[in-house]
Amino acid sequence: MILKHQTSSRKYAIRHSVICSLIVLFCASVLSALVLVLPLNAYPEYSNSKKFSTISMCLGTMVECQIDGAEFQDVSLPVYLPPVRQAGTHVATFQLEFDRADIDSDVAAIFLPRFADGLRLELNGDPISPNTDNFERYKDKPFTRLWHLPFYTTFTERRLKETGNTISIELEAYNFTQITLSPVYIGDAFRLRIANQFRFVARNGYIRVAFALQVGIGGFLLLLWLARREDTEYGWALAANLAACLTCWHYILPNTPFSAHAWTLIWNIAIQVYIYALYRYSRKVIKLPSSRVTIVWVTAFCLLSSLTLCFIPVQQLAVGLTYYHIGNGLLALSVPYLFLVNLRSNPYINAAHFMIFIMAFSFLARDFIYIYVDPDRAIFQMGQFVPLLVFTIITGLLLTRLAISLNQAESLQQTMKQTIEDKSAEIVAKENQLAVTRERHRIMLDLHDGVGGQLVNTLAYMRGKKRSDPVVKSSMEAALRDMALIIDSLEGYEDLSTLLGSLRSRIEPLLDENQIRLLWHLNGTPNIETNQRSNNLSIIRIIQEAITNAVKHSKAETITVSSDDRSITIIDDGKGFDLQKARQKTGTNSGMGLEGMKHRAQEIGIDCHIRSTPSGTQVQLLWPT
Amino acid sequence: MSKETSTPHTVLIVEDRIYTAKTLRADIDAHPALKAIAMAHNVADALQAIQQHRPRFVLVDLGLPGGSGIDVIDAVQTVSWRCECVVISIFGDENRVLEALRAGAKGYILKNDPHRNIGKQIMDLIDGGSPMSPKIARLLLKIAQSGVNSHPQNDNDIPNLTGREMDVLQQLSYGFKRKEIAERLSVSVGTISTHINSIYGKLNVNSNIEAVIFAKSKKLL
Repeated sequence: MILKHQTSSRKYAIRHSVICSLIVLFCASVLSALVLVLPLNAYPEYSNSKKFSTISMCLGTMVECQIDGAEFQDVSLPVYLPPVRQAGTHVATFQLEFDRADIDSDVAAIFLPRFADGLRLELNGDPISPNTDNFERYKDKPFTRLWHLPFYTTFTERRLKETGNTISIELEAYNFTQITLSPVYIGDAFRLRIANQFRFVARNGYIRVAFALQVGIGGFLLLLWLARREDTEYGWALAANLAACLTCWHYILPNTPFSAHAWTLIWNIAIQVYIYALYRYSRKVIKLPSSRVTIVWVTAFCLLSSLTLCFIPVQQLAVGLTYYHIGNGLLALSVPYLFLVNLRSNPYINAAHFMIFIMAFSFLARDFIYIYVDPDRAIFQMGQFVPLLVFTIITGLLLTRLAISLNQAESLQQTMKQTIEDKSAEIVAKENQLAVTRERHRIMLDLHDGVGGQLVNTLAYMRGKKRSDPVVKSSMEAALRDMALIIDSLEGYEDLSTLLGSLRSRIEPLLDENQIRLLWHLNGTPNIETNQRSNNLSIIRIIQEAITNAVKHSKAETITVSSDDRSITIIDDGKGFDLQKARQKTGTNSGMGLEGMKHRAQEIGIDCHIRSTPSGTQVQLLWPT
Repeated sequence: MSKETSTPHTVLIVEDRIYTAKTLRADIDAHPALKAIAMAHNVADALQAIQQHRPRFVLVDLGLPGGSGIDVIDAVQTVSWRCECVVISIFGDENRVLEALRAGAKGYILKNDPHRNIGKQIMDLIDGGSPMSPKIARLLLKIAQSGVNSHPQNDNDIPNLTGREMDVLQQLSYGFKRKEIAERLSVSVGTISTHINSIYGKLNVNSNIEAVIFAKSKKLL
C-alpha cells in the first residue's frame, strides 16, 4: 500500500516536472519567437540619405585590394564573415561609389550603424577614419576594436567629386570573431548624426548608464549582504552583479591591456559566473533544501567547461564558445524552471522571478543566435539589456520580500505583544487568586490554631475540673464543630460528599457520647450549581443541625443519613416533636431552629421538608430537577 | 506486650496550650505501654527536649508559637536513635497534616476526642493503624487523579496508586468507615487497612506534593 503510494507520488512528480519543463520551453520559445519576429528594422531608410545595401568586397587589406586584378565581388549588406581558422586576424575591404547628386544636402556624411572590428575608411584615397590617418605607422600594433560603436563622420566638401566618389572600408577582426558590416548610409549629415546618436544610445550609451546603475545596485546588494550574512541570496545576487558588470565592461571598452584572447575568455566566463550565481541565488530565494550533490554537479560542470574553454586554441575559440554557451544556456534555463516548479512556495515572488528570467533567457538566446547561429535571423542584439533588467527586478523583488518580512515581523510583534498582555493579565489574575488563597489559608490556620486551640484547651480544662457546666461544654463543642465547618467550606471542596464525610468524622464523638448509631448511606450527592462555597456551608449547616437536634432532643437510637443525586435525607427513630411548638421555640436554642433551616435552604434554592411523628423525624433536602 | 509493659515507650508532648498538654499527658500516662517524659510548649523547647530526653515518640501539635510543628518533625528525621512523630490535630487542618505526613510523621490523632483514648490511638498507630480523614482521602485522590494526565517525568511527585487504593480513597472521602468500605467492596477489613497503610507508605516520599496540588489547581502543569 505504502509502496503503491510512493510509486504513484513519484509518477506524479515526474509528470509534474515534465509539464513544468514544457511550460519553460514553451514560454522561452514564444518569447524568443516574439523577440525574433519583432518588427525591429535595424537599418531603416533615412530621409535625404542613401542606404547602400550592396557593396563590392575584396578579402584583403585596402593596400592588397588596390592592386589591379584584385578580386571584388558584390555582396548584400549586412554582411558577416565568420571567424577563420588562420592565425592572427582576418581582413576584408569594401568599396562603394556614389555621386554628389546622391546626397540631397549641403553637408554630406557617412554613417555606419554597425561594423566589426577595426575600421579604416578612405574617401577617394584619403583616410577619414581618425585611427587610420597614418596607418603605416600603426600597421604592427593591435587594431582598435570598435564593434561596439556606430561610426559617423562628415565629408569635407572639397574632397567630394561630382561623380565617382569612392568609399573604401577596411575591416579587420580577430580570427575568432566575425567581420561585420551593416548597410552603409551616405547622405544628410544632420539626419545621419541623429541616427548615429540613436545608435550610440541604444548600445554603448545605454550600457554605460546601465553599468553605473548596476554598480549602484551592487553597492546596495553588498550592504544587504553585509547586514544579513546568513541570507546568502544577497551574496549570490552580488556575485551575479559583479560578473554582469565585468561583461558590460566589454561593451564599454572592448580594448583592454590584455590580449584580445584573454579578455574574450574573461568576459565570456563572466557570463557563466553570472548564470551560476543567479542559479545559486534562485535556490536560496526559493528556499530549496541545500542539496550538496546538485551543487557539486553544477559547480563541477561550470568549472570544467570554463577550464576547457581556457585551453581551446584560439583558432577553435569560436566553436568552443558556441558549445560553452549552449551549456550555459541549459544552466540558465534551469533558473526559471526552478521558480516554476516551486511556484506554490511563494506564488507572487516566484512567478515574477520566472517571468523575468524567461525574458532574460530569450534575450540571451537571441544574442546567441546572432553571434553563433545566423546574424540575419537576429539582426538586433538585445543581450545588453539583460543585466540591468534582471537586477532592477531582482532588487525590486528583494525589497518586496523585505517589506513582506517586515510586515510579518510587525504582525508577529503585535501578536506577541497581545500574548504578553494576555499572559500578564492572566498572571495578575492568578496572583490575585493566589493572594486570596493565601489569605484564606491564613484565616483558616488562625481559626484552627487560635480559636480551635483555645476551645480544645478550655474543654480540656473543664474535663480536668470534673464538675463543669454541661451546657457550656456542649456549646463549646458545638462552637468547635461550627469552626471546623467554616474551615471546611473555606477550603473549597467541590463536592458535597467530602464535606458530608468530614461532617461525619466531626459529629462522631457526639454520637459516641450519646450512644447513638449512625447509618451512612451515601449513594451519590446532588451535584448542581449550588456547589459554591457558601451554599455548601449552608447545606452542611442544615444537616449538622438536623443531626444535633436528633441527638439532643429525640432520644433516638439510630440516625440514618442517606443521599442520592437529588436529595439528602436525615431520619431518626426518636420520639419526634410538635412542629408547631418547635416553630415557636425558634431562636431560643443554641442552634438555628427549624425555621432557620428552612430559610437557609430556600435562600440557595433547595426545598427543606421536615416531617415529625412520634416514631421519628425526617429532614429532607430536595434539589429541584 | 509484656516487654512494653516493663519498659514503656517514652513520649515527648509538644503542645502550646497548657490544659490540652496536661490532658494529653494524663491520657498517655494512663496507658501502661506509654510514658510521657516531658512537655514542650514551643519549637525551641521541643528541639532541646528531644536531645535531652531522647524520646521514642514525639506527639507534636502543628500550630506552635515560634515556628511550625513541621520543624520539629524535620529535626526528628535526623536524630540517631529510633524516634517517630505523631501529629496531634483538632480537625479542618488536613492540608497541613498531609504536609506533616510527607515530612515524615508516622500518623496523626485527634486531640479533642475525649471518648477515644489517646494512648490507644498512639498504640494503634504504632501497630500501623493510622486513621485517614475524608478530606485527606479526597486530597490524595485528587493528586493521584491529576497524575494520570500528567507527564511521566512528574511521577516522583505523585503517589502511584493502584485502582483499588483509589477506590478505597474514594469511599474514605465519602465518610465511610473501614468496616463499611470492606462491606461495600466485598473484602475484609484487614485488606482495607492494608490498602490504607500502603497509601501512607507511598505518600512518604520526598516530594513536593503541595506544589503539585497548587500547580494542578492553577492549571500551570
